[in-house]
Amino acid sequence: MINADRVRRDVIVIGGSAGSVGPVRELLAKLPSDLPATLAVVLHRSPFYATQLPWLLGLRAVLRVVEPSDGDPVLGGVVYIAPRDHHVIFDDGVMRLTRGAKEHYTRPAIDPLFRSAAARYGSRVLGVLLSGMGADGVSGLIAIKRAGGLSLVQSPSEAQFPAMPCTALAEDDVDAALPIDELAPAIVQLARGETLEAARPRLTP
Amino acid sequence: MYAIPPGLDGAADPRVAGVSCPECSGVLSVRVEGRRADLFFECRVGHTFTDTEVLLGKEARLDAWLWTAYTALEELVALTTDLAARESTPADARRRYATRRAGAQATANRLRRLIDDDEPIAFPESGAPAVAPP
Repeated sequence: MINADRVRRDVIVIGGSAGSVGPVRELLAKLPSDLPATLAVVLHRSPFYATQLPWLLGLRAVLRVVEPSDGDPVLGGVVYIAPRDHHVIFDDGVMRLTRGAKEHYTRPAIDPLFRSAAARYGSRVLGVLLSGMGADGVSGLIAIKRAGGLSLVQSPSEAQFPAMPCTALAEDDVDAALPIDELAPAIVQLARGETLEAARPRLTP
Repeated sequence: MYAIPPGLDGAADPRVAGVSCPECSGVLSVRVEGRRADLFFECRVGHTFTDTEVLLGKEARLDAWLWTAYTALEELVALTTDLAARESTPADARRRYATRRAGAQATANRLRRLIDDDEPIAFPESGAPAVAPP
């Protein structure tokens, strides 16, 4: 059983790379308007091309989906999407945008968001790592777990590019590996401080 | 000179690595992280990498530097060609230009073959770990 101590996991950080735009759209479409949580999402994207990524991700979302400006207050019921060429990190009650050093050759990167959430919010954090190549987000998930938070990954068998979820499963005690259809209700339950029944993820078939 | 400091696997804190940051050339440190004891590199100003990413960055730099060297040789060839062709260039200078042009062209050709023959490392899926999906 996950979240046996019934902590409200109301700071939800999501990371994805190749093959994760569709899954994030699905996820956001399935999250209810009264979700008692703040979400922040990093998808790897070009630093050079202005795109309508928040609009695309939020097409079927009921929550408000925005690219934050530096210093915006951290609000519940909002999904913050990392803008191009900036890391997004949680500061003291506000979102910070920085052009800090690229991590894993990318900015925005997942690790800085996850690390900052872990440092600020500890056990309130739920980290979710989706489809992608490489290993960005894995170190961040480890930091989240070490701070008392929870971690979920997209099922490698469903992920178009399973490297990121697989690396997380190999490196750390991820709480569950779930397909997108099950990730959305899991996020809702954990945000509300409910327990979650899910099989322990296995490393080998 | 090592790349990965000896005795790293039991160390709790990061150690200074023997290779530089692929992004900024600054000093890299390395620590062991996670159940599989993977290497995690970070430089002074905060660029971070997996071991695979450091390797790929060095490959990219090598490719860039080889082409920079090739460009330098090609520019020598072009300069010596054009300077030799100027009417005001005296005959002895023209001979020196021609000699250098031939040498630089030969070196450029050899370097071009080296570039063609050098095979960078390749991975099945951009640094995907060797872990079977559940």
